[in-house]
Amino acid sequence: MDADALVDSYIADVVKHLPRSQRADVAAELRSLLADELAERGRDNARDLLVGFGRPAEVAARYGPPLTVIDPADSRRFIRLSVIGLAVIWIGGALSPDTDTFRIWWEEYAVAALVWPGALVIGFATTAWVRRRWPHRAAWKPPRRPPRDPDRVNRVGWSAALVFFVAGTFTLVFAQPLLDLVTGGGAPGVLTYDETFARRIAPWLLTLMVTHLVFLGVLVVKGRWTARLRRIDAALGLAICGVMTWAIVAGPVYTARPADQTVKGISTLIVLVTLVDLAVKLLRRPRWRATTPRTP
Amino acid sequence: MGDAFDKLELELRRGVVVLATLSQLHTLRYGYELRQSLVAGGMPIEEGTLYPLLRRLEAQGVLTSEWRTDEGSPRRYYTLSAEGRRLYARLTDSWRGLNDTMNQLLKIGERDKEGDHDGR
Repeated sequence: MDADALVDSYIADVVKHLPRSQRADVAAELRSLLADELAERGRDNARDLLVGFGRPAEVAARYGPPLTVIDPADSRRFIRLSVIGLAVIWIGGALSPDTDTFRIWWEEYAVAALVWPGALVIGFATTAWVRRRWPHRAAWKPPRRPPRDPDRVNRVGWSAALVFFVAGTFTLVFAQPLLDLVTGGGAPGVLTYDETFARRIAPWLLTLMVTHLVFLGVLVVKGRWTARLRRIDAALGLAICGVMTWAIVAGPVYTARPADQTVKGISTLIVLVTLVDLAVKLLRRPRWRATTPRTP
Repeated sequence: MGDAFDKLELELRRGVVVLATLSQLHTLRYGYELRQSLVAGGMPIEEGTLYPLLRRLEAQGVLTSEWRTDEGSPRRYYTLSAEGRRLYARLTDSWRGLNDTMNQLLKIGERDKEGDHDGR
């Protein structure tokens, strides 16, 4: 390809990225400028000149004001939310009982999940536009109320939780007698514990649950989280998760199969939520606050 | 290290590209002529950066342009608009202020460096 053809091809590639109203004018100017450059460097060096000029799309972009869809400040958050959302949908889809084949997973979850990053793009782009349009609204503002002390314990809330957990533990221990009381003996053996479970696992689980109740009582009385209380909370959480996992895999919990399957499903969910909660607490533990120097 | 220097030096140069360009447009100049003038003054700017920049400045009202065919082939000539002249004067003041500040800071830095050497 000779120099003129190369220049024509390059200019065509640049101007196709520009608004139609600009194309003819920019093409004419670029042609005259490149002719001057070629006259200086020699027509044999046309290819090097054009490569050095830049990728046509980039050169065309420089003709207009910079366009940003997602603010650079939001890019990391966008990527993190996209990856987490996709992972949750894909893993959830893979674990769903309806997903029998790879094809079902691919069609109903893998491809459909791409709607999530698409929705995020729209959300972040709208936010970026609003920020540019009304910059004063995006300016940082101090909170109306001072930040909540993360170590303070809401005594009313935790007391309510304690009452709920005591009632729950009582219900679990005396499940069948309570059911008999409610139904007048109309559901015999539905919530009777398996003998092996009651002998091997239940004592450990009950001990840990009662210990946890005592821990909650201490927490309510103290009124503040301390590093030691947080460590005990994490250790108790892990221990309860461990024993619950043991109960799930060791054999039946209840003698009746429907009750057994239901309680195992609920237990799996509790273990997962507890582990996620522990991981979040570990990642968000307020390490920096103690080291940030305070102005006098 | 060399890579970091190249990137940081590029950022420094980017900061002065507009002012350098405006400084050469008190008279009508076309793109290639302007680039040559900047090169001769020690401020080479890539073609792919300079030529689109002229259009952007024109769209912002800083430059005006016209097609001329004085020496045969048609060329687009640019010069500062009235608004561009005012902007240039303000940017020049800012640049001189920045330059003085930087000289001052660099002098303090040099002094601290020498003090540190003497202390050792």
